[in-house]
Amino acid sequence: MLSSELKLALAPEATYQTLVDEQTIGTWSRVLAHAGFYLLLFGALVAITATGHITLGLMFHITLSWSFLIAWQALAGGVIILPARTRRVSLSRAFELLFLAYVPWSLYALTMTALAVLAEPNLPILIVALTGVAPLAWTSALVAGFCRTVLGKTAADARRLTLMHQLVIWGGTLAYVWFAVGGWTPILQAVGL
Amino acid sequence: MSLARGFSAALVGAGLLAGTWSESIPEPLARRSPAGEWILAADFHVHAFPGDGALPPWALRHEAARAGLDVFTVSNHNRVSTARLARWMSRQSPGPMVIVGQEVTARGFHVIAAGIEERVNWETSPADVVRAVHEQGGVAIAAHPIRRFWPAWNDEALGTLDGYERAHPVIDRENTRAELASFDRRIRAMRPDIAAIGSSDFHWTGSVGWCRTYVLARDRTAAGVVDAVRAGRTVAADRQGRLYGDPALVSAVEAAGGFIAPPAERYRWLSIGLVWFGLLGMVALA
Repeated sequence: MLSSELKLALAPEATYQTLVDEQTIGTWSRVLAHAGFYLLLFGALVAITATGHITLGLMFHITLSWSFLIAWQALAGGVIILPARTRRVSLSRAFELLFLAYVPWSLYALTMTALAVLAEPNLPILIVALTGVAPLAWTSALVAGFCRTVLGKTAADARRLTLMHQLVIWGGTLAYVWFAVGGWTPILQAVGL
Repeated sequence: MSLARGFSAALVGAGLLAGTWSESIPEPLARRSPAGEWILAADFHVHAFPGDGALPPWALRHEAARAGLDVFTVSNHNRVSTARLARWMSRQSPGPMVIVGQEVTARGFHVIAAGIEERVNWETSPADVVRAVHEQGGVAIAAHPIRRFWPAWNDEALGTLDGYERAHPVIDRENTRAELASFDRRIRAMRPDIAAIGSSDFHWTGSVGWCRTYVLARDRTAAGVVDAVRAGRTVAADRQGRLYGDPALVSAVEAAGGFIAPPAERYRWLSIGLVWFGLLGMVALA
């Protein structure tokens, strides 16, 4: 009854092993479907958080605007998947399985959206930032499991690749924040410096 | 697709349809003050994508219309490119007017520059920032002037401002409500004719027009709105509809109908609930 994503979140290595053993043929359309679902989830939840309502048009416009996030995630995935010669599944299947590892962020976004709607509008930014550590650590554990089980890496290499993957993602995030808030001044202020 | 996932997807679809069907966009009002000025609903502090806002300009404008606004300023932190894009887009179709702005974000103070064209340098004093805004023909508004920003607002700087945010979402918290009121008393003692501004400071939560400004403008144009702020012809409103500013102007706005809340949407909670539970099902169920 539980989805692969949720099983993965609860038992990363065992679930990845099962998914690898299934020998499912990966297709790029399935990769796009996974990526598209996460983007639609993002668009829907941002619409609700930002406006307190949701319509087809609003969700479409937000999803379209932020669709570069998928390219960014694909880039971060490519950094660890493409060089892996010990990969145990096809390239498209590897991307598909990596996208499953983002489930902690989906659950976090759902939770934060519910809190934002119920506490409207002043959900303290500190709560959002501090609780964000949980999906960050959780996703890192899943990505590490992916590297060991799907890419066939040793534990040490998996940790190194996970770090690289997260650096690409958070380096890009920081670059966007820097652009979005117009330089370092607001960022330093936000952290009390 | 499994039955559980299919049912979850159907919930999302139903929620989207309910939300779309129940959406309500109020007709623009043509209210006049007893003196014959237009009374326009404005929000001078709105952030947009690309930048530190969630919504792109075209969606933002739709939301502004839904909130019953006549005009809003796109004021991203230390950038004007998105604001200029938003203004260009606003000229392609009927709807709320867009004013180009910037939230001049410096260490110790933030200033909303509305009615500018080029980015204002933020690495200088508040008084110099305000002068730079004036040189471009814009107006300068002290943004969320709560306690931590007070040290920057000395008498010289206060003397140069065109307006200050009297109503801002922080007004819903007891301590910051008192701080806004304290700043209000101090600046009105010096400058009784300064513009009282209500703004949403919209980024990712709340909504555009959460707090708003009623502008009493001679012309129903962006230039007319900026002129009215410069002349102090404004009334700030918070979410509960409380009005702030010059008592004579508050009376004028009240005489024309006062605060008008956006229309309630009948199936708002139903649509949000269906979409939320549907998405949860799609993530969690096989």
